[in-house]
Parts: sequence; C-alpha cells; structure tokens
Amino acid sequence: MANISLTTACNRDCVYCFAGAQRRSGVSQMSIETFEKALDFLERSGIDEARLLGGEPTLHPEFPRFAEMALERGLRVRVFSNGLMPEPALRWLESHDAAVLMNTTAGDRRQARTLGRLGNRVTLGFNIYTPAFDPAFLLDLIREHGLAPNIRFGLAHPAADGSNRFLHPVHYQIVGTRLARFHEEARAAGVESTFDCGFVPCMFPPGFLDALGPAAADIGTRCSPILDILPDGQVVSCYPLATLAREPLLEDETAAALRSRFSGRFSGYRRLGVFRECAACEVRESGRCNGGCLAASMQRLRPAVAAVSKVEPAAPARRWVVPYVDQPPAFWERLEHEFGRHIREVYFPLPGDVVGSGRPPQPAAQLESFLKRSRLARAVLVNPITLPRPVEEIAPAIIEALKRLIGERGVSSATVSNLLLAARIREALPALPLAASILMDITRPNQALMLEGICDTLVPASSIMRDLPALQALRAAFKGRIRLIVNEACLPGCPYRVQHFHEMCAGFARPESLCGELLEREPWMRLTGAWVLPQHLHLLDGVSDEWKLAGRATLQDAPTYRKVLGAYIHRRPLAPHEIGGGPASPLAPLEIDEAFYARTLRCGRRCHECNLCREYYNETRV
Amino acid sequence: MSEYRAAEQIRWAVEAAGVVLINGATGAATSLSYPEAAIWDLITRGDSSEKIAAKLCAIAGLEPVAARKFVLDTVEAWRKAGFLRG
Amino acid sequence: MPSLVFAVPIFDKWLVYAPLQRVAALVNHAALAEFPEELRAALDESPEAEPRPRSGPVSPQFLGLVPTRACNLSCVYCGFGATPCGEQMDLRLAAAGVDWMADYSARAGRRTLDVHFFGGEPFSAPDVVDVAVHRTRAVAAERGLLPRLEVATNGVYPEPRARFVGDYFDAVVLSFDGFRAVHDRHRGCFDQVAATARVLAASPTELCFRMCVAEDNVEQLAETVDWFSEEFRPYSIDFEILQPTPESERAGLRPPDPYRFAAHFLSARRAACERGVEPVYAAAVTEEPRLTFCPVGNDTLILNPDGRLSACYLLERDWQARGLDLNLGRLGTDGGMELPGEDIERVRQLVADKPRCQNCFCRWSCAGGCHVNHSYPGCSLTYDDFCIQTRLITACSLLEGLGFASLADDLVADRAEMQRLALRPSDKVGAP
Repeated sequence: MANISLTTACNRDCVYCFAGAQRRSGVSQMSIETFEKALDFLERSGIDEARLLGGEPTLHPEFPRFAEMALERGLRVRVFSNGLMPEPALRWLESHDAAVLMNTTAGDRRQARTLGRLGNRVTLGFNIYTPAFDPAFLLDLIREHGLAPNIRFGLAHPAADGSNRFLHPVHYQIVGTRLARFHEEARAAGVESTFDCGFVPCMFPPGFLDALGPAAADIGTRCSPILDILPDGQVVSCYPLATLAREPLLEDETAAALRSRFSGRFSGYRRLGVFRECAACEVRESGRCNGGCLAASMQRLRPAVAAVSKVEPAAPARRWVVPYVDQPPAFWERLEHEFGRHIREVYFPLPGDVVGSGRPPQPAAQLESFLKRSRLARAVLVNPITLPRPVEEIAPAIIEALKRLIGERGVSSATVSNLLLAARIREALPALPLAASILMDITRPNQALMLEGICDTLVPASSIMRDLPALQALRAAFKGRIRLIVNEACLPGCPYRVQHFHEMCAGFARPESLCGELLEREPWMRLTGAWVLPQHLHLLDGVSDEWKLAGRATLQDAPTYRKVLGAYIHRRPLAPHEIGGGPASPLAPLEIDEAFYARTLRCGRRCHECNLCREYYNETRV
Repeated sequence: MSEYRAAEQIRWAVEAAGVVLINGATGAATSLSYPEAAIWDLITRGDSSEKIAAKLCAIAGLEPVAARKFVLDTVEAWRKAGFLRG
Repeated sequence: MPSLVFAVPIFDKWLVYAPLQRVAALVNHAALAEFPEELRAALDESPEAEPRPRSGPVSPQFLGLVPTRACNLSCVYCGFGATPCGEQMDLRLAAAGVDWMADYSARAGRRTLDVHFFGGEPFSAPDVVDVAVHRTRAVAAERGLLPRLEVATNGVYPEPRARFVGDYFDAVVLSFDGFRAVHDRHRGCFDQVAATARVLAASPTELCFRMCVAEDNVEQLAETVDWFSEEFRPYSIDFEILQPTPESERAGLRPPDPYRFAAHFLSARRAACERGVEPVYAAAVTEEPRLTFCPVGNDTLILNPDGRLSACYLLERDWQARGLDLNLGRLGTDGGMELPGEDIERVRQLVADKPRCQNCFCRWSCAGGCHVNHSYPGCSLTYDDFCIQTRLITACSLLEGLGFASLADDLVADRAEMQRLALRPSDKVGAP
C-alpha cells in the first residue's frame, strides 16, 4: 500500500488535519511526470491499487486525466475525498470504476450532491479527534444515499509539528467504549465497521474484538510506514511524521525498501507506545499490539531541556476585528476565553456627540463596563460617510476625544473614513494605528498609494470585496495590512449606498434600506453582495491580513454572535442568511457551492452577459 | 550537577517502571530503571548533585556517602555514553 | 413487599427506586399501591446485602500522603489557614509510608500501588513529592506492581514542575473554579493555573478539574464546562459546593441555592457529556450501594507531615470540633507502624449510623456525604442544602437513566415540584 498525494490544495479546514504543514507551505500540485514516476513505483513494488489523496485530490486540475492513467495501467483506483468535488471530477468518478472513501462530519450538507451521485461506490470515513463524537448520522447517510455498508473509523493523530487537534490517548478508552456501542447498532443495520491505523486493543471493552471478527485482526499492529508520495515526489512514512523524515522517490526504489528505511529510522521510537504502561504490557509483549500510533507515542517524548520547551502550537495570529455589542461582562469574558487568541480588537463608534457614528446608534449601556473590565483590545470608529463640518474645524475635537479614549479607556486604534482627518490624527497621535474605512471607497492601486504614511490598514471598498483581481492589485500596491469585511453584504457598486449611509449618519431614526425594491425585483442580486462564507475564506487568504466581522446591529444576540464568530474563526460552514449580514444579504437558506463562489470572485460582475447567479439562485433557493 | 545537562539530541519519556532515552540523531533507545531513572528526572529539572544525593538516600535507601558516589558514578557513565554534556 | 423500596413524587408520577436490587421505575400513582407484575418481579430478585462497615484486617485502597499543610495560595474560602511555609514531612517518613503501602499491596495481591497526594498544596514541599513519587515507582517496579499516582493541586508553579506532574502522575485533580473573574475572586493566579492546565492537558495524565461552586458562579456552570472542554479537554470535571467557612463569609461568598445548583448542574452535566468530559457530583453516584463515599470508613490511611495516620485529609482541629476522633495510628521514619485494631474498628463504625439518612432514597449512594462537615454525630435530622441538591440530582440521574430526560428538565424548572420531592421526610414506600 502507498498513497499518492496529488495536491496540497483543500477546500476544507478540518481542525484535525495532519497535513497542515504541507498545506501551509502553499499549494503544490503533482506534475504529470511525478505522477508517472509514482505509478512506476507502484508497479515496481507489486502494488495493484492507486490510492489518490490530497489535500483534496479532486481539486487537482488534471484529476480525471491522472485517474484515467492509473486505470490504463491496470491499477485499481481509490480516491480519498472530502466530497466537495469540482463537477469534472465528479462526472469522471460517476462514469468510471473507482472507489471513493469519503471523510465526513455531522451536518455537512454540502456532500449530499456527491453522495447522491456516487451512491454505493462511496465508503464513509469518520475521523475521531474528540471523545465527544456521535457517529449515528453515518447510518442515516448510508441509508439515504445507498452507500457501501461499511464505515472506516480513523483516529486523528498528532502531526509532529503540533499543528492539529488530535485525540489524546487519555481519551482512547472513552472512544473505544462509544465505538463498541455504536458497532452493535451499526451491525443491526447491516453496516460493518473497520478501523484505520492507531487503534489499540486496550481501548475497547473486553470481548469487543472477538465480536468484531476479521476486522479486529490487525487492531494494535496497523501502525507502520504507509508511504505517502507528496506532490513534489518526496516520500514520507506517513503524514503525521512528515516533518521528521522524507525520502526522494528514486528510479529503482521499491515500497519494501522504503518501508524498511523508514522503519529503521524510527525503530528506537517504537519502544515508546502511546501509554506509559505500554512498556509493561503483556499484549504488547505478545506482539498483538505495537503500542499504537508512533506519532502519538512521540508526544510523550521530552526534549533534553524540558524546562524551557513548549509543546503548545504557536498562538494563532490575532486576525479578527469584531463588533462591540451591548452584552454584560460575562459575555466578553467568555468571548476572550474562547476566541481571545484570534481577536485583534473590538470596535465601537466614537462615543459622545463630536461626530456621528456613521451608523444608527446601538445600545451601549454596558460599554463602560466593557471598557473598564475587558482585556480585549479596543478600536474606535470615526467613519461617517461625510463629516458634518470641515475637517480643520472638527479635527481638534475628535483628536481630543481620541486622546481621552486612549488614556482612560485603553483604545489602541481607530478607523477613519476621511483621509485628511486621518492625516491630522496621525500628526497629533503618531503612535495610534489607523485604518482606512471601507467608506473611503478604495478600489484601485493608485488610491492605496494615497494612504501611505497615514494609514496602517486598508479596508477595501465593498464594490471589490468579492473581486479577487482587484484585491490582488491592492495587495500589491499597499504596504500595510489589508482587512476584509466578511459579512457586510452590500451590493457591489450599489447606487443607493451614499444616500443610505447619509441617512444613517444624519440620525434618521430607522433609515430603511433603499435597495429593497430592486432586490424584490431581482432577488438573485443578493448572491452578488460583499460577503464570504466561513468555509470559503481560504479563497481570499492570499489577499487579506485580517478579517472584520460586521454586525453591531445584526449580531446583538450573544449565542448568534458566538456562533458566527466561531464559525468564521474555525471556518465551519454557514449559509449566507446566517452570517449576520446587511439588507442585501440572501434571506433564504441557500447552499453556496464553492465552485460557484470561486467563479464569482473573478467574474468582473458582467451580469449583463452572464446568467450564473440568476440560474444558481433559481436552482438552489428553498 | 548543574554543570551537566542532557545532551541536545537526547529525548526521553517516562514509562511505568523507569525512563527511556532516545537519541534523536541515531534513533537508539536506552531504558533506565530505578534508581537511575530518578537521577535522570532530577538532573533534567536542574537539581544539584548534593540535592540529588540527599533525595536518593530516601528514594533508594542509601547512606549519604554511598548515595553521593552512586550519583557521581552514574553521571560520569552517562557523560561517557553521550547522554549528558558538560 | 421488599423492605428497602423508596419512591419520590415526580409531578403526577412516582419514581420507584430499590438501590439494593438496582431497580428504578417510573409509575403512575395507582401503581404505587400495587406494583405492576414486571416491577414486582424485579423487586423480588434477591437484593444485594445492605452495605455494612468493613471488617477484618485493614485494607486501604490507597495511601494518602500529606507532604505539608503549607500552601502558596490564600483562597478566600479555605479554612485551613495555611501559610506558604509550614512543617514538611521528613523524606524518610514519606519513603516509609510508600514502603508500607507497597508491602500491603503485594501481600493483598493487588496489581497497583496507589499513592495519592493531598495538602495544603503538596508542591509546597516539592522535595517530599519528588522522593515519594520516585520511591513509589521504584518499589512498584521491584514488586511487579503498577504505580498509580494521583495529586490534588492548585497548579500554581512554574512550567517545569507542571511538566513533571503531567509526566509522572496518572491523575491530577486541579482546582479551577472557572472563568478569570470567578477564579481570581475565589483563588487567584488564574493565568498560572490556566498555563498549568494547558501543560497537563497535553501530557499523559488524566486531568480532572475540581470546581468550587458558589452563588457567584452557579449560573455559569454550563458555560464554564463548554469553555473548559474546548480549551483544556479535561478528562472529568468535579463539581463541589462551597463549604462555608468564616473566611468565605468574610469574603461575601455563599454556597449556591441548592435548587438552582441542581438545575444548573443538570445543564452542565449534559454539556460535559456532549463534549466527552465526565461530569462528577460524587454524592449522586448510584453505581454501587455504599455506606460511605469519602475516605472515612474506607480504611484509607492519610499520612500527615508529623507521622500521624488519620482517616480523613481534613485538619485534625476540624474533626475534633465535630467531636470526632479520626486518628488511626502513627508511622515512624524508621518504618515502625502503629495501627491499633481498635482505632480502625472505631472509625469503621462511625459510618454505620446516620439517622438523617434512614428514610432517604439516596442513603446508599450519597451515604451521608462528608462525615466531618455534614453527617457528624449530633447533626440536624432535617435535610439541609446538601441533602436537597443531592436528592434532586440523584432523582434526575435516575430519570435520565430511565429515558425520561425531559421529565428531569421539567422537574428542575419547577421549584414547587422540586421542593415537594426534596423536602419529603421519608421516601420509603407507604410513607405519607
């Protein structure tokens, strides 16, 4: 057995992914030459199956061609997929004899299309990274889509670089007990369970392995070099150990020789076992268990100078700018605990009546308490669509207000919608980081240059928030940080925008959205707005240094706020009506396919000659 | 003892009945049983030879002089084996 | 009708519970007068014998070591009055204690050598812990036993010490009261404890959080469990009610209202189970009938810094104030053990008679709770807050076990109904 990793690209962001190191180093696609070398290697090694994996292997632009090549050589093809396949790959799999092992998670509706079309060619895979798992939904999926009556369970193992979430061995017994219980239920439904590498006999209740039958045969001994051939042609023992040792794929190399080299390289570590007690275990002594996953065993190792080591993964960059909502201190405390490592700052409008907030006032009864007690960094908005008086007249009062906020309330940055005002603030408060508001309407590189020396962060205009080429141009032109708003949802180049923002800023009690009539007439236009769903953020990773969550008005409910922010931070899927967007947001629970969304990032909004969004809206609306 | 530290290439793990040392460069593994395993733990946490010897009296039931000799002999053997530097 | 059948009202139904037959059922009022055939048959099965005080040679499950009563914290609810410096156990005494337990474990045919550390804060005497840990592991290896080390700790020490704890202890009970504001109000040093918890969570040890629940955090239980689970992935969370002390009263901390605690505990327990964390409220464990749920009466030997052996890890002055003598004997640094049989017998008998519990359906599960703070000689015969919350939680557990989780939810949402259940003076079937 050996796996061929066609690409590091992936359209999911699973917390347990042990290929994070490969994915973070940028997208790498296997060339046809390397793929041919890999097929030669399989043939030479007497392996009759090409196991294609990724990343997500079907995202490789030549996936159908590669799979075809493997079949032409007489190899069986098995694809390890997350189910979110581009149409050409799905069509190819529908019409060819290939097996698909599809890893799934509860509640992911996006896989339904693939499951429905591939039916019993699909075996479900389920990776366990927490003791809190419930695999019951797998039986429903198998019944609903007529899938193969088999489930392959995997344990999430630790990547050697500490980048993923994995199942700690202390939880193995809980997992084993739950799996044994589920197995009875599954078997009653005619579904068998199989177990991937790393499971050990002692995690299951007594008698379970006997009841399991042949599938139990190698539980405890399945950890050995599987051989993963990476897109660049390097071979690793397995993904979790990828950062520790790799070998080139040589012309005359066989799988047996490579396995032997990897086994030798890690032989000393085989002594460890996942538990302290493994060294004294009779089952291990008998050879019926080799101590479980080598990567998990190596987690027990301490470096020479244990006192100064760190095993925690590096803290994530604080990339999220989030809205103040009027919630009690317990909410902010919990938010800090849950997401504090990700939150860059919490923003709120400049208090008082020096200048309008640019938006309708929101409840602020708890603001003082937030400012006094929370440890989250805070930023202030000074961004009406127009200033009510000339800049030179109003700037001193704003600067005084900012000074007070910095000194007394710990405000550490500001977002400004007027460049001259920003310049005045910079002169007076040179240490205060400034962000150019979305209302500066920056869309082009020449505008980015105008901000130089004044603004540290640029929030691009909503008209280009979903225009990848325009964002890439800005990215190249602006030396500071780019901040994208993920859920503003205004229509690109909305003709009502200035009047709408003026009405909001001028204090009309409830300024109505002015695009309502238009959207009633052309509801599909809601699909064109300035929003990106959490599951698609990765498409904009290259053009954004940080993200802003809008929602001072729409995310006031605490559970919704946490749910939406958590989904964005962890890139868990949401539908567009769930993200707390604006008046032009889709209102119905639409399912947004990644391929569709990716196309709209480059379409240039040539809606006069394109029906993509109209058709997508009509096909997917509920 | 403070002049000794575990060598950079050595990694180690606690087992039920001792400690296993693994040479990260060669992959070679060495098991330490008691009382050596206790000395390894105390060295890696920075105890002085006097302190280790004092604790070893109670851990291994040794007289102070014997405990001190045992510690010094063990450390010297580990230094020669490349487990410790210094 | 079997003599030990209890029933408590749940709205218009009755929860029937026979702890010695391990039978529970939810029946209509009419069925209470004459049990349905199936239930009667189950109740007619031979019951287990009533739990009795231990007899025969002393048989401790573990040796409790108190390296010191000193502590580096001054938690506002702690009545120990500990200071950062204090008497530390002689290293030879620690070794002698371990040796005695190893001898006993080998003679008794045990597979493990169990040593648990208490305080004060055990790591305020770090040398004692180092010696005892390595002595335990060394003699266990010699005798073919598996060492089982546990510690109750506050987690306030530098990272190297936290790593040692994670690497060498099989289970760690870390006092952690919740979010920063609560933890710092109760105990202090939140950042240090959270850092230690992270190290322990990544280590091979079983990490248990012990959370002190007071009036100020009772409503955050489920949220705290969510956060604990997400951030630290502990193995279990143990919920303990604030035990009022003059210190806690001075600090304005009060125990939670027992009804609110029961309701919030139920939510927290569900949150924990959903996240794969074991929730523990020790007084409501119904797995096996028992006469005591704490060290007292279980032959546990707690070795104090001065060599005294006692049945409880609380301070001598606390149990003396309740008129109790929980001393069992003495161990010398030379290994000389004095463990008079009459003292063992005296303490065993202490747990036999608990008048308040006679008619309570929890008598074989809660077993009267703490013998020093709750079921001491001369304690009130009426149910107190501990009884009330334990009765409610036990009833809810039984209902959930029977598949009536929503009825448990309804119960804890209805204070009058909770009071009807909790304050009922006798649960024996046939009682008014």
